Amino acid sequence: MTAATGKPIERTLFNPDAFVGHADEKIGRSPEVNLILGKVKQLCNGDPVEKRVTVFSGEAALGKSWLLHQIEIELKSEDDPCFRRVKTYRLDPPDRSHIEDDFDATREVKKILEEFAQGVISQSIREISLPELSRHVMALTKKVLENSFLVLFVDAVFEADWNFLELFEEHLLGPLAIIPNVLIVLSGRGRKFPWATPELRFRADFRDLQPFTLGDTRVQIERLNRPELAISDRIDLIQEIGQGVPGATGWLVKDSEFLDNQNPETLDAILNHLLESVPEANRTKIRRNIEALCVLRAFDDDRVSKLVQVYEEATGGSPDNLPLTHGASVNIQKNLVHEAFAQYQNAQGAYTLDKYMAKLAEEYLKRQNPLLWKNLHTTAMNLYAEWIVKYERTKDRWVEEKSYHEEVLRSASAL
Amino acid sequence: MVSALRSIDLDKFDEPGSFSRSPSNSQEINRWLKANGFFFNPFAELNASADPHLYQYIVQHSAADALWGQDHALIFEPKGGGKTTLRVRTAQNCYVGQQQNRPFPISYLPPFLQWGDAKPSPEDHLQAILTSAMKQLLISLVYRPHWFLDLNSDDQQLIRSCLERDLMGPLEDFLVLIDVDPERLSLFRRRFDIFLPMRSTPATTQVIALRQQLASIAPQPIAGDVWARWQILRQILLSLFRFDSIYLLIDGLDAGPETAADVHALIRSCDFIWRSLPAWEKERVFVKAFLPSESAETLQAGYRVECKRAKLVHIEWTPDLLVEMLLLRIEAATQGHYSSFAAIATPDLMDVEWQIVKTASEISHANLPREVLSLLSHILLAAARRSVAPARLQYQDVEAGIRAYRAESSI
Repeated sequence: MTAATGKPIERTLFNPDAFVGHADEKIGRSPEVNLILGKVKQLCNGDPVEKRVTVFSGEAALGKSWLLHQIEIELKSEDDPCFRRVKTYRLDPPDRSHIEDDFDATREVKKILEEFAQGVISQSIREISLPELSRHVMALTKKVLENSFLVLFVDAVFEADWNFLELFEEHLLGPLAIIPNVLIVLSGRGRKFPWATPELRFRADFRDLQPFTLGDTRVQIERLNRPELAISDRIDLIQEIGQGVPGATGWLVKDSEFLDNQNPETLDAILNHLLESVPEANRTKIRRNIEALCVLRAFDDDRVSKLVQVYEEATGGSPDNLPLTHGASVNIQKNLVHEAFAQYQNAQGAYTLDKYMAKLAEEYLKRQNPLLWKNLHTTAMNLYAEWIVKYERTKDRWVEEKSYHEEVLRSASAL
Repeated sequence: MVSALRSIDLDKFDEPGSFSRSPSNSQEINRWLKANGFFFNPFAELNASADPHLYQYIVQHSAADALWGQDHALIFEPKGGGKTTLRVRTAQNCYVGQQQNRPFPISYLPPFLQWGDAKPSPEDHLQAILTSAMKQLLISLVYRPHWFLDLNSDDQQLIRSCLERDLMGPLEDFLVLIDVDPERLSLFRRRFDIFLPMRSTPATTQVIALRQQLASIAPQPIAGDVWARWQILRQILLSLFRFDSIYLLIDGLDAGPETAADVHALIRSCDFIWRSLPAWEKERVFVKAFLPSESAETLQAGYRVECKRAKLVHIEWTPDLLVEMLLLRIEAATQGHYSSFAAIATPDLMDVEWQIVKTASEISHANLPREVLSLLSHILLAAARRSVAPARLQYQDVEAGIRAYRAESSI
């Protein structure tokens, strides 16, 4: 069940069998799986666990949902004397109801609490108000947990609406986080929510998921019943294009035609697949904006304005929207951040796209429309040339960026 | 339109500022921030105890972590360095969830003006602590009515009588303000002068039930002097409510006319507190005192044995931390859409927060959050006056802001 809607999950993005082999076989994420199993064991032995909240973050298709699923399976198969309860929530329902106009965060949190009461403490509680419901559920949970412990998984947590998260924390996650025999495992991507509960924020164990190494990708390919790809030189191509992102590897392995011809259709399918979490009405726009910006190493509204304009003009975008206003460029940035495909980077003083997504988009564009791809790089290069003159204080930065685009174009011409 | 963007609370931009010297909460700045994607003005409240968003952008969390726990803690920080922020944050941490499974916080600001000098007796302190505790208890009950409603009638009677005895006025005066109407609740909080940014609103029926129950019980005289009532307070908190401990959060020691100028007077004024540390530890009362840095030596020299029983935490603000403070505020107020003004600045202002911190430090000769926020507010005001937002922050705004801040600092 999904947490926020109560409807069944039908996400193709999360399909453990399709992407990383059978869930009973460990691959790639053993350290993370063992980290949680180790904490469970400590709790089981009655030892204090210093950081009972673990947060796995990582970009799209890195296998966050799979990891939580894998840990859950391992937990259920553990043969130990501890009586434990396991509960899983996913906060990104496929129908994205939380972005609709009638979304009511209070109602959604109440639903979760009622479902939690049913699933974890076997109680059917229906109260008038959220605070009352929370109070009763937590009082009963505390009692139930005197002789057992709880492992709570919350997937796609940072993708959820912030008003919802505030209530979710206040009424469930925060109170659970301070109970000594509760272990919480969160996963998500994009901007982090500023939790108020210290146990969720300052005393949590933060782990960034990394892409698979070549060795892990090889094992993944073997387990997807394509051992012939794992031993051929094609694995290098898969690793180069897929970048060790398990979700991307799964798609590349499925499509042997891409490996033969490197046609853009497979990359197109992977990009669409990675964008499944975006509401349908917004998906094409987000996809087009990612393609327009994928050549940049960082962007702000000036750069958005220039690059999106070039892209739109070349691909028949609506002339009514051109030239882009300052407000429109800012909105493009906001939407990309909101959908967790871009993040603000302090070190760059600008936004960057999800790097795996950007690379896939650029590979796609390079094959699908090489002229546009070159135009985008040229536009970026020219913009930086202007900035070198205009912004003396930060000139070095723009010299570096201009050189990068020059180098890319030079390499492309040499091919 | 995504739902997060629907939640802009326009009222937040109209809240009156509490800092007179800085233009931090001017309408012009608020309008400019709102047009640039801010959901509230995170620089408006230079008084941390009045900042409802404080929990979102706390820095110095290692210090906050250090002072948490069943120990006394003495936290030394420079003036303007955010002692109140840490105190408020510690109090907030005591209210996770609705159970009584955290310590009970008593925010205690010694009332020097009321005493008329900085030489309070132990009884003066205890009486003031009792009043602070009753204020904290009543506001806690409003937000957690079940704490009171779940007690038996004898215990309710005892608490009602203690509230009557040691609050700063008759309980009835406060009961009229205990209402689910947000305006009345806000007035109630202001009357108590201990803004505790609790995020959840209690259930309407529970608040009304609490008010009715408190009103229906006739208070009885509490026998015994202030020492006896202190023991009753401990009994109420630790036995009736079953809090695991009591945190006595002491702040504002440098607010008295004598204690502001003389650290010896400041330390001496709390002689009773320091001498009580060993006994209170046994009684699960833990002092968390927020003190000016310059008092550290005097305190440790005068109360060597007592200080050994406490964690000593020295807080220093580095440029890195000050930049982090700004970035966290921006990030929280834009709901994570960006965390630096560079996102809305021209490309020659990539390091604008560093420039602000460096300049504030040079002009004020100190690394202090208050100075950094003050300079920033002048810069934002310059930007807001130059152009109606959304408009990018420009280098000329920074220069104009620095000029105004420098002029103000030289007064």
